[in-house]
Amino acid sequence: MDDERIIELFNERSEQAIDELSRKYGAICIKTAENIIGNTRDAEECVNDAYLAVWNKIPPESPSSLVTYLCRIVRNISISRCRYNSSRGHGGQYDLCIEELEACIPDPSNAYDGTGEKELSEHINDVLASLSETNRRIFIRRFWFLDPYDKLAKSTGLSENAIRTRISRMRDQLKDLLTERGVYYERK
Amino acid sequence: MNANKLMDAIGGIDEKYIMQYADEKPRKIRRFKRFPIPLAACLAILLCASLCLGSWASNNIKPNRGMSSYLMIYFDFERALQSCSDIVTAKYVGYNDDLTMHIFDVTSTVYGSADGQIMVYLERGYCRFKDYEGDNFTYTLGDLKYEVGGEYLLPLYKPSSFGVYRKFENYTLVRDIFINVNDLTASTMYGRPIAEHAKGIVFDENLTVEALSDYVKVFPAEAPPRDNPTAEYIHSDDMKDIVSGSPIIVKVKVGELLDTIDEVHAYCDFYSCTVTESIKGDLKVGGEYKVEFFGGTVKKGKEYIVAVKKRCMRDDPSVVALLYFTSKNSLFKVKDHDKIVEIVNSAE
Repeated sequence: MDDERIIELFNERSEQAIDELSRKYGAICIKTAENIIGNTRDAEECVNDAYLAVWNKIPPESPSSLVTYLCRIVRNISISRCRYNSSRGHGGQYDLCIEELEACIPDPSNAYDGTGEKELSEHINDVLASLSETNRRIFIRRFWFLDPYDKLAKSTGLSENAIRTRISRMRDQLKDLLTERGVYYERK
Repeated sequence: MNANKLMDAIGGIDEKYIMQYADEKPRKIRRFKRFPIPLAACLAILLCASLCLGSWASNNIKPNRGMSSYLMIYFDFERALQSCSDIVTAKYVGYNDDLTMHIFDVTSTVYGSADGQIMVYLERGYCRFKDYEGDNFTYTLGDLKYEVGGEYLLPLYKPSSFGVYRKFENYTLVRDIFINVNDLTASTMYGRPIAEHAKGIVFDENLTVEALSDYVKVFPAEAPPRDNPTAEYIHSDDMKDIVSGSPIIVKVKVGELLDTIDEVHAYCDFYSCTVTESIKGDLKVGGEYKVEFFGGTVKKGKEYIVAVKKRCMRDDPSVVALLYFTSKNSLFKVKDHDKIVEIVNSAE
């Protein structure tokens, strides 16, 4: 069933909408949530919560891309769950990604915090636009979908070490761009 | 700014990127650009090996055939044990690719005569009971998770007939009773804790395999006598037994190979053969028949003497569809001709 028809079903308040959504995008959602949380049971719960969220949001919302819309919700819910789990030391890939991103911030507690999230996303878009196709793929799969390194290696055909090196360079690139634009700077 | 905020901001990137990379699949890796032919040869060898070993492979293979539904008469644990012909403890070796035939090495015989390497057949399907007094339930028949190398107590039933070409003695597991001897408390029957179905024994931490074995072997021994399984073939390697017990003995010339079965449980070749001499029975010289041999035992163009039975067409019994062996040792060399004729004549 195409996305437009699924959205129509949501608008008609037909419960078939969730079945169709699950049938079409369930696998992507579970994979995304599992990457973030590292736990199938919690991942399934997050995905179910995401379906419910979509049910509550459409209508009135009408997303232009259903898969992106759904994946964003899954990601947000999974990250929230992960932050809760992390406080108990069960973070999965999320903790690792956060550590990697912290490495871009030499002194996180004192770093400038005046930029809005949306503005920050725009800066990241600019960095992504400057990357090669392969590097962009690696960055998004690592920090958006939170793929582990072995999976990234399989999907790109590169070795895990090569992936780590590329990610390290991309982090530096992000750090340089943010610093250059005054978004984030190190306190001397 | 902290890393969490950066992570949230990454979540808000342009959706074109998310769409582009949402459904990620492993990319084919081509590392050997200079030697495609040796690489292809290696892959072909690996493919052949995997085909040969496929049926014994890892536990990740899923059943690949449709599942039936069954309505079953309910037996509790003790009643089910009464229907056993054999009870053994055995180590799990492997299975065929539709998860119905499982191979075990018997480690001890608790009741009956099963020994050595055996094949245990598990019917697959969805099952419910027509007369269960508790809350009725449906369960998946044959969905048992044996682990290679694991040791299990197997209540078995020997079918009334079994084919001569089977590589192993063939049994059916009784009522999906699943008992891991290293974890008796996790035992199940009909996919549920065995405690729901066992009346006279408690599967707790104090239960030992010895005590369980002593308990289970009582029930088949006390059960009313039943017909012994009728062997479909002669269990002997003595020429006299085989020749005397076989309705047809003919000398045949092996023609074209028609078919081969090469599976976990059997390896057979089907050849078109011409009868060149009839020693016993009613087959005419010159007649052409399909004969089932053990795999790789005969050669095209050669002559052999075979002790066989007919399998006729169901809708026309006058037509012989197949000749099959009367024992595992029913293939003789032509040089044995005189000995065989002598046995046949002495019996008449």
